[in-house]
Order: sequence, then C-alpha cells, then structure tokens
Amino acid sequence: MTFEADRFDEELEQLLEGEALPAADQVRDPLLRLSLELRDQLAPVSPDPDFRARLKAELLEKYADTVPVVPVAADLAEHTPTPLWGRARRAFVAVAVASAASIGLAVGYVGLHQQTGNHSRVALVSPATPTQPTAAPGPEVTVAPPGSTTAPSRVVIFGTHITAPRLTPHRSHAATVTPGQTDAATATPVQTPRSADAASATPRDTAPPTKVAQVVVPTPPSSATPRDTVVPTSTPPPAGPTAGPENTKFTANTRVATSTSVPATATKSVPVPTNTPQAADSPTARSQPATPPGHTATPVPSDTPVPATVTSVPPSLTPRTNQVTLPTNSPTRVPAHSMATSRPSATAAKPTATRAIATQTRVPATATMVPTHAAPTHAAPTHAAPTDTAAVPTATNAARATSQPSETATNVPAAPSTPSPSRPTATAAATSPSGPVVVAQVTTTPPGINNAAAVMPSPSPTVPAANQFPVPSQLNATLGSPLGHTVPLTSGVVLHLPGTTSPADPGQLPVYKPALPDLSALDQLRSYGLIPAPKSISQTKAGTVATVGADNQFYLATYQAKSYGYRLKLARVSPVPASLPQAPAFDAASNARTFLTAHQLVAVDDGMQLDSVTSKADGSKVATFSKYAPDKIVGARAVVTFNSQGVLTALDIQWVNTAVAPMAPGISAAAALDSVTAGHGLVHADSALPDSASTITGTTILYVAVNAPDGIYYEPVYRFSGVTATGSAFQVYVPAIERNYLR
Amino acid sequence: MCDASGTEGITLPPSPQQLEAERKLVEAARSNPVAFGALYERYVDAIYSYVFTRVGDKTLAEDIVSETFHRALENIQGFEWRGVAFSAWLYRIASNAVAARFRREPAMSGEEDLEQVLEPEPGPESLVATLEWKADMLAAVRALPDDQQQVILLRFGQELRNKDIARIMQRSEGAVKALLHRALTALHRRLVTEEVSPTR
Repeated sequence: MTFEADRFDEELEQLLEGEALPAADQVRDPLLRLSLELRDQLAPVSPDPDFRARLKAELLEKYADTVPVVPVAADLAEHTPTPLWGRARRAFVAVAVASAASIGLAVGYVGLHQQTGNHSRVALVSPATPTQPTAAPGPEVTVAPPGSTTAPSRVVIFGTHITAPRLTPHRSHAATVTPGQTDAATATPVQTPRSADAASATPRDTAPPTKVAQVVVPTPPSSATPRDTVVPTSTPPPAGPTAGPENTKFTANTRVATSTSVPATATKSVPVPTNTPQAADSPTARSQPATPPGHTATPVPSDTPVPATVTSVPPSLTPRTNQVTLPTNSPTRVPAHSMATSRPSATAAKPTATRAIATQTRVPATATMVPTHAAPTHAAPTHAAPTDTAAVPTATNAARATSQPSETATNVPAAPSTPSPSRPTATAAATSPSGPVVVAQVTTTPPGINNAAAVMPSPSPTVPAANQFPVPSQLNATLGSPLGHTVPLTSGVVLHLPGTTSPADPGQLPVYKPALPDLSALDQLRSYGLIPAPKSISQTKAGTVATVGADNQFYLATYQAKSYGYRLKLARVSPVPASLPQAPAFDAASNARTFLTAHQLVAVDDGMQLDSVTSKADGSKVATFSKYAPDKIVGARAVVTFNSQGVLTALDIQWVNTAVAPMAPGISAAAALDSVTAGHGLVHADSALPDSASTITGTTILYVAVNAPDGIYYEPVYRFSGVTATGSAFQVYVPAIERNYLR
Repeated sequence: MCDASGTEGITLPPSPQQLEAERKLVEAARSNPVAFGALYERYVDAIYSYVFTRVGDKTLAEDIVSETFHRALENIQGFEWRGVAFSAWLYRIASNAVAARFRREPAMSGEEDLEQVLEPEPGPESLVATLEWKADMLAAVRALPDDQQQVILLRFGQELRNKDIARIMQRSEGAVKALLHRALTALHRRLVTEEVSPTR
C-alpha cells in the first residue's frame, strides 16, 4: 500500500508540476484523472465581502479584550537579535552606573552619618530655603541625598566624576549622568507635559501620595532631549501653598523611578532615599537641577553633555496626573490625553488602547448601518437594503407582479392587484420596524411604458469594469445560469432578426434584488402553516430541520432562508403502505398549485407556471413549476411529488423573492443584436459559433442570477436562439438593460 | 490570492524569507492589532474556501471561519513559532471546528447549497451533466471520513504540498501520501462504482 501510495504520489507530482496540465480525459489512470478533476472542481470560493469586513471588525474589536496590549515598541516586539557588542556595551554601562550609584550612596551615607553625628540638631531646625537651581551641564554624576549641606565629595568611577554632596534634609536632589556612561538607545525621554490633565494639575491637588507607575519607553538615540526625570516611589507630604509652576511640570512626569518593564531605565536610575522631608517651596524643575546652597555642580567639559536629573517627587502628585509615555514610533500607541487614570499606568494602557481600537474598528460597521433616505414620495418603508442599493431609488415589482401582496403594493393605487395574503417574507421585509429604513420609489406604470420617475438614476460612470456585462460573466454569473458556460462572442458578427417579428421594446425592466426574510426559520415554517413538533427541531448545515404537520400528514421539513429567497424541502415521514388501492385519477398540477398557495409558499399570481407533469412507473406524479416575473427566473422552481394515492410525498421548492425590484431602462432586441455586432454578448454553441449567415429563430428574456458585491441580483438578458448555416444550434445571451445598470 | 491590503498571498511552500516575514508578523500580532489584521487579510480567503468546500453551506462556513479566527485570536499568545506557516495552525483550528460542529450536528448527506449551484436552465445536456457531476463530486467528498476529506481538500482545493498537509494534520508525510491514496480510491469507488455520476 505504501509503495503504491508513493508511486501514485510521484506520478501526481509529475502531473501537477508539469508545464501544461493535460485534460482530465487524457489521463488514463482513473485516480490521476480524478485528481485533475478535483483540482478543477474544487476552485477557491471567496467569502462574502460583507462577512469578511464584519468579521475583521469583530476581531479587532475583540483584540483589545483578548490580547494584553503592552506598549512595546515595534522593534522590540520583533525580537531583533541584539548584537554581541551592543549587549556587552550595555552590560558595561550598567555595571559602571550601578557601581557609581552604589559608591555615591555609600559616600552619601557616610556624609549623612557624619552630619547626624555632628550637626544633626542644626540640620533638623534649619528653615526651608529655596534652592537656587544650578545647571549641571557637565558629564558628571551628582548624587545629592537629602540632608546634604556641605561640599560634596567627588569621586571618579570609570572616568565618571561623581559629586556626592553633603546632606541637607529639605533639598531637591539632582544627578547628572554622562551620556557616555549610559546606553543611548535606552535613554528615557524627557517627559514633557502634554495632556491637559497633567498641565492643569496644581498644588491644590492634595491627595495622599500614591505609588505610581509609569512605563517609560525609550526614544531613539537621536532624541533631542534625552533627559530623565526619575522620582522616588514614595512621596513626601503635601506641598505648601507656595508650590510654583514647577509642580505643574512635575505632574506631567509622575511615574515610577525604576520600571521593571523597561530594564534599561534602571541603568540610569540613581537610588534616592525616599520619604524625604520636603520643603513646601522646594520642588525644583527637573530642567534646573538643584544643588544645596553653596554648592554648585562642577562642570566637566564634555562634547555631548546630556544631563539627567534625579529629583524628589513634588508634593502635588496625585494619581490622576499619572502619565504613560508611549513611543511615538508605534502605530498602536494611544494619545497621552486618554491615559489619565487612577490606576497604575502600566495597566492603564490597556483600557485606553481598547477604546482606541474600538473606535477604529467600529467605523466600517457604523458606515454600513447608516440608513439611506430616499425620495419622500412613498411612505411605506421597505426592507433594509445594502447601502449601495439603497442609494438608488427603487420600485416594487407591483407593476409587473401585480398582485404582489405587500405593504408596498397597497401604496400603489393604480396597480390592479388583488388583496391577498402576502408571502411572509415579503410582509416581514416591508414591515420590519427595526432596520434602517429605505423608502422606495414606486412606479405604478405597467411594464413596457416609460416612466421617468421610476427610472433609476444613472449610476456613477465609474462602474467597475468587472461588474459590467459581459466581461466577467464567468465570474459573476451564478453557476448554473445560462451564462455559466458561454464564451464571449467574437465582434463583427452580424445577426439579424428574421423579417418583421422583432419583439416589442421592453421599456423599463425590473432588476430583482432578493432579500432575506426577517422571521426565524421556525416562525417562517409556522407562517407557512407547517407546524413543527417541539422536540424534532435541529439545525444542520442544510438548514433548520423539523418534523412538521400539514394537511393531516407529517413531513420532515428542511428550511433555509437564502439570499435569493428561500429553500424548502418536505419529505413525508411515513410512506403510504403499498397495499392501499390506487386512488382515482387526480390532477397533480392542480393539487400542487393548491397546496403551494394554501400554505402561502407562493403568492397568488406569483408568476408560478407549470413546466411539466411527469408520471412514474409506480404511479407517482411529479409536477414542476417555474417562476416568471413575467419573464422566467432561472433557478426559481417548485417540484411537487404525489404518490399514486394522490398524497403529497415530497416537495422541493427554491423560490426567488421578487419583492424588491429597482427598475432599469431596457434595450430593444434590435439594439441587443447591435451590441452583439460590437462584440458583446455570450454565445453557447454545440459546435460552430454563429456567424453573419446564421439565423435567429427565437427571442426570450430570462432572469439570471448575478453575484454582485452586495448580494445576488436577478438581471434580465435576451436569449437569442438560432441556427448556423450548417444547421448547428446556438444561443446568444445579451443583457436586456443598459450596460451602465448591470451589476 | 492577494488580499486587499496588497500583502502577499499564500504561496506554499513558503520561502525562508516569507517564513521570516510571517514570523515577524505573528510576533507583532501579539501586541499589535494592525499586524493581526494583516494576518487575517492574508488567510481569511483560503480558510473560508477550505471550510466552505468541506461543509457546503455558506452560513455554516461563515460560522466556522468566524470561530476559527476568534480562537486564533484568543490563543495567539500561546502560539509557538516552529518554522511552520501560520496558515497551518489556522487550518488545524478550522478542521477541528468543522469536526466539532459535525459531531454536534450530523450532516445531511448529499445536501448542496443551491445558492452556489442553482438548478440550471434546461439546456444543453453537457451543461447539466457538468453541473451534476460537480455536485455529485462534492457530495461524495463530503461523505468521506473526516481525515480523507481534509487531505483531499487541502491537496486539491488549497493546493498544498504533502509536507504542509502533514504539518497541518500532524502526521508524517508518508502517512499523508497513504491517506491521500486511500481517499482518492474511496472517492473513485463512490463516484464510479456506485454510479453517482450519470456521466461516468
């Protein structure tokens, strides 16, 4: 078996990989032939564009609820391998800065110890003195722990000058970090107040100090202001009334000093003692690092002085001033103004991002739900139609199917319709209270008579070529339509109608746009008088299946609402015993018509016409009907089977809903033939293609299904039947409406 | 099979460059909805085609495709890149969804969505026969066991290679070859021996 499978697979590979695939009937091996046929028949099927767009919108809306949106820059998300030298450099810088910070802390601690030992009383009673901020432009690390009042100690670690000042209890602390000692790629950007919320924060904000978190995402090395503002995680008591506008600057930068989610930030963080008593007026603008009185940071020349300041938290910090700084190079970032939240900012990013996504993805859905208003000449709303269609004033087919019983029909005063129960689908469509209302323009003019008010306005001249006949007919025409297996006619072929028997100009022709019924499947069955048994209902891929009772019989019903109307199958559950005597002769066509109309499966005068009644050997009879409106609609048919006793045993009906029918200007048969001469039209011929010597023997209008982007339409086409000079039959299909109105 | 956004469609087997680009896209999709949208655009047509061919019903196919992508979204954080096209994972989810659906709702054999195959206008016999043949073929495929359906649709409907099918079905390549051969033999027997098709 394995050997056979391998051999077959090799042959199949050779076959499929060949430059030109042979026709299936040229391959002898039946399995290979079947493979080729499968390859031909299993052509890709595209999803409905509406479904495609809707699902995408759903997914993106769900995305924010499902996927934790973390503000990681795109380049980080891609996990680009970091070069070895880069990692080594980062490690070196991290070690250097950490060492410097540790030594600075140690020195500061020694200073603090000496201070508390020698001058503690002075330090404690010293009045608060505003610090005159002094710039520290040099490439120098200045660690200014609280309580520093004396000249700082200076040490050099790995070439970095570190100034460790004496401690003072109420001073802001600043540190400058030489950019050379930090990884420029991970430098934390300066937090500039952007949000209105942050900018409006004032010292009146006296909420208790709150540990806050801020995700700081690095900016590119080319950032013009690569400064850090790092604040302790615990804040001092509230500020006094003299807190100046510096506080405002700080409020925009409230954040955690060392965010673990961005490890690189830690390399620039200088540990600062927390819970430091803070003078009311001491908050210092981070752009102006403060030094203790009498102490000025020693400037150290540097080509690229990029100071980073470490300051204490100003007292005005409140949760609502939290800010998440997001990188600007990511398309998923959320504007800063939407980030204000009382939660830590690392988690605050998610709901904000959710809103942003939802806003983005709801746009198409909203667009499709905008109701289209139509001409005010008609008060009866028709069923919601796709927006494309709704933009076009529509008319009911009351003019043609004169007894189409619907609310719309009752608004047609001139229509000679007979009131009758409507087909539930039509009624539901017309009376749906919920959907977007599309008011249709109604024509009361019978077919064949021009009515300017009923004519659809000329669509945009930029009708996609792919939607125009006949170019894409093989794609657009529903499989099984007369256009399904035809070829474009060669231009230059002149076909003539015989003699003076040219059919009349059709005038306005309806283009049917079926709509789904609003009722559920079970309600639809009930409306047909087919009562489902409660425990027999199931949903299958073939539709809703239920055992239903009708006319004292039980049937297995399979119902599906379709884009063209509906499909219903009935199969009698219990066969009639064969021993029953033969029933007297019965009229299968009449019985079928009675059943269909009594159950409102078709409306009275719904264009149902009998095609044939066939009798089988077992005595059963099959009546077949098609739908005409008034021209034949391809695919709309009802097949009713009666057994020899005249009991309905099976029904198979697929019916096209013709309630909605925009009107389009038709063209005459002669004009259609002229378009054949111009190369339009599709021809089906058993052998020879028609030429100028061919003869047209019959002209018919058919309605064929066309898969338009917004659903199925039924469009009228001429079918010219004829024979060539050699006696070969052919049919030519040409659209019967103006080309600009084709879907 | 290019999507609306112009991204490259599915071409299997993918080149290393394509795989690398897809890996980056998948990684980005874990934190970036735009990237997930790109993945959706890239694969939704193929997945729909596969599912529709298996179930033969538009509404059901849409349900299953929707379920497939929702599941993919829910589990994308756990998706582990192993050098296999992302589509393989999606096909597997879709296959499982189809199987699960039919376990709940037994299929009605021989049913066909006539929205796709409307009854033809009585006309040339060859046209009618062709349409019937296609409907019969699809019905016969859908009557095969689940794994045989899957291998036929992936091989001929999606035009995947045995290697890719093996990854999707989590079998060896040899097992896929054998399964395909068995499936074709069964299908041929069903179509020819039982004379489902009037023309064969």
